Amino acid sequence: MNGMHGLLRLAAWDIRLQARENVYAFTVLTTAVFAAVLTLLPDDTPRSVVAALLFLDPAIVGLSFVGAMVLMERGQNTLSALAVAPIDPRAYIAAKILTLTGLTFAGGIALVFAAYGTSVPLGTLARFVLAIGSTGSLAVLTGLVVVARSRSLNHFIARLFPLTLVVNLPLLAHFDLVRGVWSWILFGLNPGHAMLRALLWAADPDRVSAGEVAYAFAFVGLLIVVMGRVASNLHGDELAHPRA
Amino acid sequence: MSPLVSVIRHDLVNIRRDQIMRNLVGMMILVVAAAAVMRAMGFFEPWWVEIQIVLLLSYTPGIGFLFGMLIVDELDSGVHQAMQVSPVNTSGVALARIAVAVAFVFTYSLAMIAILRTIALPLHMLLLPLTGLALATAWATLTVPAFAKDKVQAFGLFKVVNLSVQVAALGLFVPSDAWYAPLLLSFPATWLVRGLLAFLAEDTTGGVLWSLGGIAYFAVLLAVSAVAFGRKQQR
Repeated sequence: MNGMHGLLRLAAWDIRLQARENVYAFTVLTTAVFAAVLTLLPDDTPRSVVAALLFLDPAIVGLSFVGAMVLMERGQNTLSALAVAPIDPRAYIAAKILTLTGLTFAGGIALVFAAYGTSVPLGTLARFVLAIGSTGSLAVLTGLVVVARSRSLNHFIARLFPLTLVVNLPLLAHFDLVRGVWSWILFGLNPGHAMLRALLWAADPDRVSAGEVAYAFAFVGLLIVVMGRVASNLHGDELAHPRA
Repeated sequence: MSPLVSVIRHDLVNIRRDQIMRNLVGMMILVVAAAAVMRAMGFFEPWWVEIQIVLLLSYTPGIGFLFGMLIVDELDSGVHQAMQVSPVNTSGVALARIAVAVAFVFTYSLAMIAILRTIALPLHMLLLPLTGLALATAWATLTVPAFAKDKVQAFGLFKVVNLSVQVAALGLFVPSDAWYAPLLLSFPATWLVRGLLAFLAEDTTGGVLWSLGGIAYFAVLLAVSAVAFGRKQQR
């Protein structure tokens, strides 16, 4: 099957599956709660709160859903069917990234409008598109890597627990509870730190230096490449030798 | 050995096999230890009651979800159908799972409060609000398999259930006279948070009434989920 054609068909299938499984309905509900919180925040609330709220769930919404979807497909022997179809394993991964990052975009941008109102400046919107696109893609790829060797949804969640805890630790630096050089020593290699810097740059560019912006996007970009490679290898193996 | 005990033993084997217990208990101990160290070092001094309540709200639905997922996995894989023609009482199994999850959460909540000493209340005042929060665990355990058709829906539903409990933490930060503050009462966990805060303000009557309200609210939600789950079992 032609690469692009295969990708589009897989993406269309994923969208149908996500709609059937009410992934969009659940995301609308949770986004509505976050939007209500953002709308009700006092006007003088620091923009770092907006970035942190996005980081807590909406900007990484694909992380958990992708795991549940892969496990369901594995349980329903969809992967066995894909194994004998002329489909590049990378297209399977790309379709998940495309559709779930799209979902992250939709939810994240809706929250940006909730936080800034309909007159959100174009520059701010563009920064959020870049930041949410990066964090959303990285989250989906991380979910794909974590789920690749998970036996059940509980196993997947058990593996996500410590990861989530570690990735959330840089919130301490985000809210200036850990400052200066210590924030870099403790969290410089933590993806959560880079993701939060990217989101903070989108929300409040004056609080982030050019060097930090370069660090945030270079690190997240590097992780996307590495995770993409790992996910491609792991799922390529599984598509070649599907498990029941 | 009774079939019920066999199933619970099998659950525990599954949970152990999937590293859930190790990661979960490890994380829970880590959170309490980190909070205790930070408290001893004098960090966030004016905020410890709020932090304690946020911590209490943060894991109660999650534990219920883990036990609920055992049921979803069985529904998904057909094990549940097999159990219905076995000598196992499937409602008894669900009840036993709820009991294990609730006991786990209740014990952990008491242990956390005893270690952190952020909420200085006698045990009898803690019992009502903590019982209510433990019901959130029972609610999540039943609601997820009652309404979700498969793993993906279970995950999505859990996010909604989880958020509906954790949103009660907002009540700690919004001004009590804000027009939207009463809206938070549509979530039962808010009643329990108000119960705890009333007890802390030495308003025993308020504490009892808010807590009983929260327990009754969760009991109604639990009953709805139990009926839906019962119907699903009969299908």
